[in-house]
Amino acid sequence: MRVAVIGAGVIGLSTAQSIYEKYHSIVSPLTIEVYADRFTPLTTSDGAAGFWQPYLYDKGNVQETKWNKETFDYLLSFLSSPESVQMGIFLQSGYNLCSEQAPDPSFKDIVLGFRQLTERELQLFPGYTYGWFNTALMVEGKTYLPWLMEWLQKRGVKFYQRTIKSFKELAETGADVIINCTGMRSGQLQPDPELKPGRGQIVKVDAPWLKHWILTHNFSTGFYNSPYIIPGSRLVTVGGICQIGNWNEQNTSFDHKKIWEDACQLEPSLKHARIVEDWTGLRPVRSKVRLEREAIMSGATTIEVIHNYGHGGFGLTIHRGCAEEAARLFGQIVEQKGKGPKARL
Amino acid sequence: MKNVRVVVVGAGVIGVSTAVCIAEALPFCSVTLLADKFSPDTTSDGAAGILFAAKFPDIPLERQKRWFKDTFDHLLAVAQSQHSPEAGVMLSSGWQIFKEVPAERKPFWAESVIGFRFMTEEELKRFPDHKFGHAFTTLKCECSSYLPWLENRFRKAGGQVEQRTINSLQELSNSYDIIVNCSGLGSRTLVGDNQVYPVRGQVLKMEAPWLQHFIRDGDGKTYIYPGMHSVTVGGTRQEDDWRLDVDEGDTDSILKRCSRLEPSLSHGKVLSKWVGLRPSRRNPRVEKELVQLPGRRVPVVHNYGHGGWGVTLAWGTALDALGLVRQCLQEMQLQAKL
Repeated sequence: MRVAVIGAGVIGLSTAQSIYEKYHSIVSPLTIEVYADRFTPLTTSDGAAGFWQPYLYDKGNVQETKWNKETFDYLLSFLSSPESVQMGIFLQSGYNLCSEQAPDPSFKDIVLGFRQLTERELQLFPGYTYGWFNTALMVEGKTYLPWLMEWLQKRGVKFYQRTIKSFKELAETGADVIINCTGMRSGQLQPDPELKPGRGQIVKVDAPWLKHWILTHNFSTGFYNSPYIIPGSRLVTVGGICQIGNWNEQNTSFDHKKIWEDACQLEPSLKHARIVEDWTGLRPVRSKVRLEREAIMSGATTIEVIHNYGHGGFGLTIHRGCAEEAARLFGQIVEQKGKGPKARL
Repeated sequence: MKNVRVVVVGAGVIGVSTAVCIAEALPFCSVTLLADKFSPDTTSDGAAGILFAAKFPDIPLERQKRWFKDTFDHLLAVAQSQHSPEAGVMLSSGWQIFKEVPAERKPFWAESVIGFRFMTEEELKRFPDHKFGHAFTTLKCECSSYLPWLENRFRKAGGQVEQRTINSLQELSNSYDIIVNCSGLGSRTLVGDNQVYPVRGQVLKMEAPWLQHFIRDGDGKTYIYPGMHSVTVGGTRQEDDWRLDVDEGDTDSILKRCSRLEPSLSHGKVLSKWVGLRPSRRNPRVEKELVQLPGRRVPVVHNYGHGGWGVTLAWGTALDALGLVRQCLQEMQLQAKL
């Protein structure tokens, strides 16, 4: 079988990985190809801070919480091996701050050592009166994506730099299944009014004395529209912008100023940080992740597509759970086409 | 009251902290910080500087709690200010783990650090050799930055700094009215205290910038302390060992023990190795005495013997030493009136 994955961000690469892991010994031959116009370090996943944390509340979407947990547990399991360094995975603790009392987040049982903030800790953050402390994971895209690509290349997965204009285009070349991991630009392959950009701008600074992430939450301005400071392995990501509907991929000095002023108020020591660069990315925001099969009619043939896009600001957080689910959907197609082990009897 | 001349001997974290406390609180004293070694050549400079305390057997617990709390609160204020990077003081979270459950599950300093709690089962899974642990946020105070920053504060308060090697207090008795002895291990010869002895500690500074948490084995011999520009990994506790040179056997042992706690360290790069001699004593000596020197009796305030807890106790014991200096001044005033 030939599988064509469109998109080489964390979703595309990890989905290719899960499909390979589950089916390379079942389906023979299994050819996996990844098509994308942007590869690491130019994808949205590369610019993101790489902090594992879903939105505070899943609003009943327990499926997504399950995928988040699977991803956390999967990444955590690598910490006992030195390979974690090559994957860009490490632990980091920090603070989620609110200006009013709020229910416990959906991820409280997934992360490590979750607890409420003490009085003394709240005194460290004037203006915030409630919050939580826990240990979570970092998975840095700029390291994780190259690791994934090497993992895939070693196993014969091929990469093609191309802009795919339609599913039909790939079906005509002989792809049996197309995996749509095109994130923000999925709308170009198939219009989706639910998919919107959540524009984020961040400032990367050198502030090695900071060892904790600090996220603030403002329930009236919406997610990620409140300052956050996330130290990485080399630089600290400072942000606090999420503009829904804004397609501008360029940095603006207006946003830089707002982010910087708010962050310095939250963490005064930032005044001494050396600013390295700004970056803008478009979070592929959707009411919920689109992870489902679609059989698209094209003349007399049926194109099998598995959609896996719309992960908003939590792509790295949820990637493994979604990849495994996409692989499961792939398995359904394998069964249907009679290409599974039963076919050999 | 005429100008009182105070000399603080020793410029490690104890000496500099004590000198600042005195200079800032007693403007009518002229304070001189006198030492043979200054940062970056003191014992304090090599220490990771993570605030942890240990219990000394003969000092009232309330006083020890106060020492820790005063130091912690002072450094926390620095960490929260914009001086944090220049002063080398930062918040640090992590875990202290134990192979066997300790008799005292909650240490006396638990309320002074931030967010103290016991580790969960999930958290302990990462350390299969260990059964129990503490999780909390403390402070890291890097003396190679902190001492110069503090010395600056000392000079702003009118303090004088003098580089000199002295072999006995006699050499100072004519120039100063009060001597404050913060000479650490040097007290053995300077004031003849053979209860001070070295506990040799070797550490490595490694490049492993992905590490954000400290990990310390409760036995105090194995620890990983991520800092601003490197991770300090160690260590050793060799009593009465005066060797200042690096022991490669210790290097291997440290790497082995630390990698077991944190496997990713095998991808870390060793940047440097360092040895320090902890100025250890059964209890730190923070007290005053009148010393008979040729021609006069000089009040001497002692503040030494903090072992491996110098950074942890510096500000608290400095404040105590300041209190003792005030007492000396009162006694001198009384004397003058007689």
